Amino acid sequence: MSKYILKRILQAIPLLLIISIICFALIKLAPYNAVDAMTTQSMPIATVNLIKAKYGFDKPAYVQYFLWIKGILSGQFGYSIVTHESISNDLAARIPATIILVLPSYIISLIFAIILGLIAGSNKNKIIDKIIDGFCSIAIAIPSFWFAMILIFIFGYKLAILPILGMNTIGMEGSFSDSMLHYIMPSFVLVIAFLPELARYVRSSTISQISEEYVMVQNAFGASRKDILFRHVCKNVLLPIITKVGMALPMLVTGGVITETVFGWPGVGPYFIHAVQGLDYPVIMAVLILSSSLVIIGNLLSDILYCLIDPRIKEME
Amino acid sequence: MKNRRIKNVKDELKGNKSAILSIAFLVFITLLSIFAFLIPMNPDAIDTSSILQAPSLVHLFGTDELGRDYLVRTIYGGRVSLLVGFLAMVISTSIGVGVGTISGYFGGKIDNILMRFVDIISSIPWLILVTIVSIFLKPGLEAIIIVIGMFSWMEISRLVRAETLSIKEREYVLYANSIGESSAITILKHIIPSVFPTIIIASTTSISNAIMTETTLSFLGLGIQQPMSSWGNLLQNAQTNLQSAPYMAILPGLLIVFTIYSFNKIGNVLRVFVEPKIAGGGR
Repeated sequence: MSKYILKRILQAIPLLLIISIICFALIKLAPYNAVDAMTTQSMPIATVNLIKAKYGFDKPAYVQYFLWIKGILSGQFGYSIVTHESISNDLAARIPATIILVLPSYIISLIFAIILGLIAGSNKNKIIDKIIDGFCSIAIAIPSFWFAMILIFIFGYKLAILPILGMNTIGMEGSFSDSMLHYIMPSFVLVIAFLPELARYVRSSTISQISEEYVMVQNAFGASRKDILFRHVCKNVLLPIITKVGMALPMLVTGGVITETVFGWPGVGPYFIHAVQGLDYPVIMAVLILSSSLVIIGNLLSDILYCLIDPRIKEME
Repeated sequence: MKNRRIKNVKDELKGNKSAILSIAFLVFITLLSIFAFLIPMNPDAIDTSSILQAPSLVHLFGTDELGRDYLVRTIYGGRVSLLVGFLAMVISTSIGVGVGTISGYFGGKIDNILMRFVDIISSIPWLILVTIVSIFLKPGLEAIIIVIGMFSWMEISRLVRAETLSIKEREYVLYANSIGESSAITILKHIIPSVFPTIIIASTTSISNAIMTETTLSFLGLGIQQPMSSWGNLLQNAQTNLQSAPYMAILPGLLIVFTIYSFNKIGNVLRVFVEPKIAGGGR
């Protein structure tokens, strides 16, 4: 077991290194860089060189790469070339906002997905299954930004009961009820965005579990349908879902980019989109390297969890 | 065998009204996009005397903030969105099939390198990847087709590779090898036809993903730029006018939902063709 886990960790490290090299290369290839942002045409060359030396841009590329990696490992992502703010500080202010929005939404949709998936899967091809499945296929086809717009129009403009922008009303930062009102719409959009795929996953694994032999045996012994579903099938359906949770790790940073942008939520989303529009490469690359590292770590986690839950995986290796 | 499979698909279609509707809708929207030039109205014609008009007989879906007819713009927008979806699908499917078959057929080092490469690209969240690449290109129709096409083939390549691994052990491939057929011919004449059904299904998913990506990017202002319209940037426009002209959000949004739903539905029906076992209700 520990050998397999170690092997998986060793496989993930080169992947992370290559991603970091790609990021760095992209920053270097960008047509406009930090030095261009800090200097003007009229500056004497000596000043430009001084600025270059101060930020280490006069050194060869590989030295810059090591300095950059060293910075990232110690939590320093460098400076935005548009606002000249420290990216780490900006991210530290924005990631919590994203997590507050994404994490509860993900948990809510996971709970609903398990309930709906189990109901649909255990009633395969009956009317309730068709309704749930139909709902899922429609929900998958709805772009979340459009859904957000419809909600904003109905609840924000027509009924005017929910605020449409940001996390707090200005001047009411401490108020819990005010934050909750701001929270409802973006979180609902995210729940609808996450739900269908998870529900389908639960449904199909319920269907495949129900056709297993142990269910037939239970049936033969005269166990009730409810008993089989909750005491046996449920357990086998839920275990693999834990691995889905591992894969959802990167969502804590990038899960709500679109929703946050529509609702002006002060998270990573608008920050990233703004950086893309302003060609703020260091910010873009910081988000890129952060989110891809989380993908790799998340996959690693889910593999390890799966291996702990299901010893058969190890035998396959 | 082949006829049986086609029969399966026909049976599946008979009992499945939503699939028939999906096909009808896609045929309709495709014809509408192709023959959009027959409409005697210019989608870019600015008419300052009729700005943000509500739907009326003259302008069935009203006008936008520059007085352009919204229905005509939406039809032309569909042209762009469907074109992006289709061409991006062609690019990503070709790359995916190429990488998948080569990786699966040759195995060994080549397989290892290609699959690690796939791992690397797929570990960057797609939205981040696509936005980053799109800033290196000049925004516009070609850029968005290239970006989506070039960076959405990873899933297809994995599917095709898995399929190729089992197909290359079949007798007819082994025979082709033993009589000295070149690898290129074997892949083209024996492997790709066998993987074809998988490719078709993957490509329906690929089209709907590409349309979703295009609309999202254009909505964020990173895709198709004005004055060219696409469903995504029409919605971006609608967002700024949401309070004064809510009708602008309805049509493009519904069209996106129906189109993506239809492509997914057709993908599901075709799945019966590939996996005859699941015919008869089970999906």
